[in-house]
Amino acid sequence: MIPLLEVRDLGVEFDTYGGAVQAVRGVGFSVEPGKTLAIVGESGCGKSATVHALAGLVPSPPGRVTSGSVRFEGRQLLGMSTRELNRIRGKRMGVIFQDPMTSLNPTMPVGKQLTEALRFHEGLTGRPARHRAIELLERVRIADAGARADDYPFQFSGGMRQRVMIAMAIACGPALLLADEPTTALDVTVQAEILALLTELQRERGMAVVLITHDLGVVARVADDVAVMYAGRIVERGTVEDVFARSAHPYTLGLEAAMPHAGEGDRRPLVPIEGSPPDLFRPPAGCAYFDRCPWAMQVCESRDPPLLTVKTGHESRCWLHDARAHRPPELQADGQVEASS
Amino acid sequence: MTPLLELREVRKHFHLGHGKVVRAVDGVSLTIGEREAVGLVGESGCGKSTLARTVVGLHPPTGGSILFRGEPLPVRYRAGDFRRLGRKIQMIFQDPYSSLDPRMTVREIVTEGPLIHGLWRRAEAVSRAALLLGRVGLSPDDMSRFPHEFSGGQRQRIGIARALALEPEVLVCDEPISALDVSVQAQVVNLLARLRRSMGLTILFIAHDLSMVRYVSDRIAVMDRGRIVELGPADDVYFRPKHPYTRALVAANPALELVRTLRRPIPALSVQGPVAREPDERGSALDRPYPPPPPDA
Repeated sequence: MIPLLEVRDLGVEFDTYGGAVQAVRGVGFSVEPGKTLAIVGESGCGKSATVHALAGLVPSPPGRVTSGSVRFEGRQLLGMSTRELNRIRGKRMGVIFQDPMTSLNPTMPVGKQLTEALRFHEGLTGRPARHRAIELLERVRIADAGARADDYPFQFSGGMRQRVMIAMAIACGPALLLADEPTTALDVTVQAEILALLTELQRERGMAVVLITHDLGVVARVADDVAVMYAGRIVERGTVEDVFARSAHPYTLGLEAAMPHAGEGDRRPLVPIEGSPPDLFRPPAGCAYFDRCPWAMQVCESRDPPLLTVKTGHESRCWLHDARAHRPPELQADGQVEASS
Repeated sequence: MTPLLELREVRKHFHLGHGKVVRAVDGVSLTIGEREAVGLVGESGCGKSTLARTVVGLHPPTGGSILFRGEPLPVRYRAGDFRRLGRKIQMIFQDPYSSLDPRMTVREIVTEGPLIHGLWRRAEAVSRAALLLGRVGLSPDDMSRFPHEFSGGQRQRIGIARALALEPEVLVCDEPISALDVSVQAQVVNLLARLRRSMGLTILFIAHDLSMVRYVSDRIAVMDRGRIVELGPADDVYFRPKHPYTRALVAANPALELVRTLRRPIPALSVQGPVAREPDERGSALDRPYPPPPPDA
């Protein structure tokens, strides 16, 4: 299948008083129509900067996209003018953010904010636009949508605001939805409702979703494919089953060991990942996970591994998957391991 | 078990003016035994943080009483009350950024309390602070640094050291890990578990992440709209929830189990234990066989 979105070698930097932070260091992935890709990682791994770059939203200054290519529906988005981007964003590509309070306009009724996108992209105005706005609010299950359309964002709860954000993002029927931590600020029961709504809308409209999250539980619940990011790079990618059931990168295994076990009476100690991620002002020459890796080898200190194929569609940025390495049993993934670069 | 802390029908109402009242805590009774860890879960706005702040004396309760070793705590603390009772119940806050004074060094943060309470003599303060920092996994060299020089997890350790400096019997932890990344959460949770054992602490652990609370606590109390709706042994509440609200919470819990069922067991990693990173360990890691770099790299 032809990918809807194809990202190659994306690099993003931010200038700070201490120098340039290399937030994203050569990230590549593709998303097929109707599929969900989850990008997971901890704070500072570059997952948000990646998504902002896709939508042309990296604030400049201090940020800039330093390298790479972002092809969406066959067109190169990097280097496109704001004018051209504006015809794509909001129409073919919808975006929702973590905090619905700061991303909605507090001085405008939500119905009006919805009709803005419809007017801009579809030339819909007046009564028909309002009808569509109310339909959309109903679609995201906001009760009494006709009356609530005249309410301001502060009159909505966090979960309801996120529903409004989703309604805005899907207003023009986008082929791709970028969702940056859409449920992080919400309570777990509300989070479950919002995830269910997103999944339902996605199926109904055949929309692809790039979901940014730090929560492995959310990933397991909604994603088809996963990319695990660490220190500005993708360290493992594959299907949800591959990445969780046959984890092929020490960092992914480390994250899972750090989470509580679910079995009754199971109080095995959590195994934290000691240390902290490297300084991205001066990224290390070797593997970024070297200092924290229980299986670190000499080569890891001096040479950054490429993404090595574990099996078709499942890759890990780890020297242990080089044909010459002695793999620990935890990483003996099924299938033939073959080197690639 | 001797009850160490007893809450009797504790209420905390906030008057918003215009006759509006928020009943944040509305009749909570809870008995916590010595050396017990009780988890308190609920969603935002359920009153769990207000309850925590009331227990440590940051909010005067509107009604009810809180007993520490059978002695009622004052409704409004006066200077002498803090000296006598306040230090026995200490708190760890959710936000490791706003809960440390940015203009104080780590040494000042940790030594301030015990010096005021007369627990430490000025001459020994630095050495005792160094000892304490060691126990929470920081280095004595960190003493002259400021909070902004530390990561979130390290700051939470500073907050824990500050609380422990007063030699408390009860530690009230208000969402101590929710601002932290998964890998760091495990560091802090393990630290709290270790300190609980070694110092005989009683813990009230507040969080919204049910799976982590189950892991830390002996018993779990579930709070909804200012009241405790379910209370029981941790595994009972988690695996056999009785109250509809608890059931909804468990069902909505981000699907950690899903991740686990996808996984096969990984015994070796647990056997290996925490990944020690002492210099000699690093050396042995380097001695392991390694692949030579590929010719084209």
